[in-house]
Amino acid sequence: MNAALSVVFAALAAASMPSSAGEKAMTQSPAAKAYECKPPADWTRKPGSDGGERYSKGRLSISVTRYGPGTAYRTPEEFLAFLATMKKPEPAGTVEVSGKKVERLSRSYERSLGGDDALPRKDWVYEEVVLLRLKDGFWALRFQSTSRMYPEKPKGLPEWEAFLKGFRLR
Amino acid sequence: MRILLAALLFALAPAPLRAERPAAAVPPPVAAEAADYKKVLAEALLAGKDLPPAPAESAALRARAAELALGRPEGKTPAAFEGEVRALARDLGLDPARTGRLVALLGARARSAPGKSDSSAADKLGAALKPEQGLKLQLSAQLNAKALGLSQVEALPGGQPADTPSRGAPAGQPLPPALGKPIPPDPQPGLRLKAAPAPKQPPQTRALGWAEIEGVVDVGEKPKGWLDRIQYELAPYIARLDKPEWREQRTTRKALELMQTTPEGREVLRQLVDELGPKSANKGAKVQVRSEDFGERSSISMRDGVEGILGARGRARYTMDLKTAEYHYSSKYLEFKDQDMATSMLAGNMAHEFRHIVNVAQLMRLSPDEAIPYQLAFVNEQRARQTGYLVAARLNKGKSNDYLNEANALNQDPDAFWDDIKRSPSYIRTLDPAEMKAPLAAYKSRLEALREDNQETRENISRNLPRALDAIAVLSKKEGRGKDVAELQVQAAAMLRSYPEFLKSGEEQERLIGMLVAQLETPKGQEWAAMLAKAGDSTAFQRYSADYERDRRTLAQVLKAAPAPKRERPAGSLTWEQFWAAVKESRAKHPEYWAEFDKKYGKD
Repeated sequence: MNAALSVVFAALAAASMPSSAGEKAMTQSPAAKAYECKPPADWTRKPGSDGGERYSKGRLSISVTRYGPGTAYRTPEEFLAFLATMKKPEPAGTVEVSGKKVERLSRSYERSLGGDDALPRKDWVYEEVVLLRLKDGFWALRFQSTSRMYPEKPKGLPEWEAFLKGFRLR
Repeated sequence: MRILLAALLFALAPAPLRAERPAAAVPPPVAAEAADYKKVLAEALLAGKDLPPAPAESAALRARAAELALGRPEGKTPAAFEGEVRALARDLGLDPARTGRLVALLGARARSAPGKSDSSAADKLGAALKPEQGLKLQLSAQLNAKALGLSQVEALPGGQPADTPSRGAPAGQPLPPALGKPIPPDPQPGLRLKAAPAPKQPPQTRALGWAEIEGVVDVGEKPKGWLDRIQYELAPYIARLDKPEWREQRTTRKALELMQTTPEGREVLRQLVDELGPKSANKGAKVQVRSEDFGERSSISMRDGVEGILGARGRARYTMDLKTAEYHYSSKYLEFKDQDMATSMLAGNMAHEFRHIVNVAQLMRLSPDEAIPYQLAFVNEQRARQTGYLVAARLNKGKSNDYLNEANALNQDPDAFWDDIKRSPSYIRTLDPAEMKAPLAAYKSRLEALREDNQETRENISRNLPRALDAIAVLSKKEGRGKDVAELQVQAAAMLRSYPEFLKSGEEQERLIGMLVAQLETPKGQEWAAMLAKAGDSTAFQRYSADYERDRRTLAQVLKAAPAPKRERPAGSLTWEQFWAAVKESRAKHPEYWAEFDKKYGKD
């Protein structure tokens, strides 16, 4: 636990400025060196809460996190069960990622943000998830596009598809 | 001898230190020897840095230094103040050159005395950024606190500005260390102390008795006369005997009882007693808890068969010296049909607001220079939200409510949740520690996000909402599905009514953040940016961030063990997803129903 917290402090100290996603691998976290990807040039990169990396701009974000034994979710099934506590993602076709054909899952749900504004903050989240299974864990790639109204046509899908195309496990 | 001194320190430490330690003896914080400490203290004073924690024999010296470091109080002559600084320099063993520097440095600081309103730290912040003519932006703690919507920092009656600490510097206790882990001293000037990791679990303290609670929380007075007391006790059972103020008291008491059934609720109440109770420097201060009619800003909503509050739920208002502290919750809670639901949600909201008050009280005691930047620290809201959500998650009885829904949303993706919170008007000025180190870049990013959001709102007003309402009308009138779309119609109509005001507020924020960015680009603005960068390094903020991180993991565990119940739509009532699927189906089967609609909006 203390080692994990030290990593948190180190991340807080090291990530003194969000870096442009175009920066080289030497500024990436150890987890990030396990893959290469091409996020949109003007997106910001930050460490993710679960130890992965998160690329974002405005209401669009893509996170890349490795899970497995010893992490928050040991198996893909455990991870999907966790997502289902809000809303179960449904199959939305297949896509090729890092040389493998994998299932694409999607869901939309209304997210309460609370707060005491006169108009309560509720956003709609459109999310897609792609899981890359390994022998000793899995990678979870998550795309989110949020909006105030229900997303008939979610924004950011071209960027997400381009990201998946450019993602490679090392 | 060291062990005896350590035991004495431990015994004299404020209650939070004791509450968080295990039953077994804990090694005391390691501090520098007295002679080394004088050198370290002198270096910190001359460099204008945080004063390091002192060994027991140097505690008084540190206290003198901390008091003088605040500057010359009004009412003390420059000569008298200089004399005190020279005496301190002598005790620290400074040579004449460094004594002169210390005198010049501390003599240049002027501190306001209680009762006078002038250059508080916040006013200095504001003064440093006094805009050019025509601009009205005042970056004071008052404006930011108000903008944050977290609490309001107001002047006390009699003119003392609330953001002026009315006491001197604290005795210099470090923040409570983790169990068994001391905070190491700063061995060299200029090195930053790292915050101790948060304790693994919140303290499993006993529940507080009403005497202790009522010592720090004013829930209103029970009637005094014996006849009135009998009526008061019978009132919950005989509606005719009840009075509004008694009903309010019962609701408040019930919420406090519920809070106490959770470890996080007990922790925040215990810390409130530590900060305001009879053994504290704030002895006599109380948080007044009342219901308040927030007017149009707060109403009861019914979503998916569950009562909730639409708009303002509660607010905390306090002066920085806590002589005034109040938490007012929406009077709509008293009107809920489901009072169990009302008090359960209220317990979460109350814990949230108490957490704000406790953290500011702790900062004012331990590190008052950081209490004002704390109003701009995003962790202020993160910490309070986590406390409230944990209380709500632990009170989960299988029925969905707004608080549980939010807790679940946070747990699904904390990064995305907080990013979206940062976009809302109440929190758009708040910064996390990384952003505090580069506030100009952070505010530019917020400005871009605001512009995007405002544009989205304009499109929603001009096209998307009218389009949704017209599509609802087609399904209702042509397909006969009025009942299925009734709730969606109410939602969309309410949004269309309130969005123009929402846009106005968003555009005002855009203007203010734009001005803030412009200010930060000036040389004076960069002074303020430097102050924020220093605050970003604060051990207090790091500690609160670690507490937040601990609570985030705890919330994940609590929700894993007892997932937040999903909201079930009443049978026959469509969700938006189902609605647009029904529109697609209707278009395919009856394109003639949609001819006029398509003419107006296009066929996309």
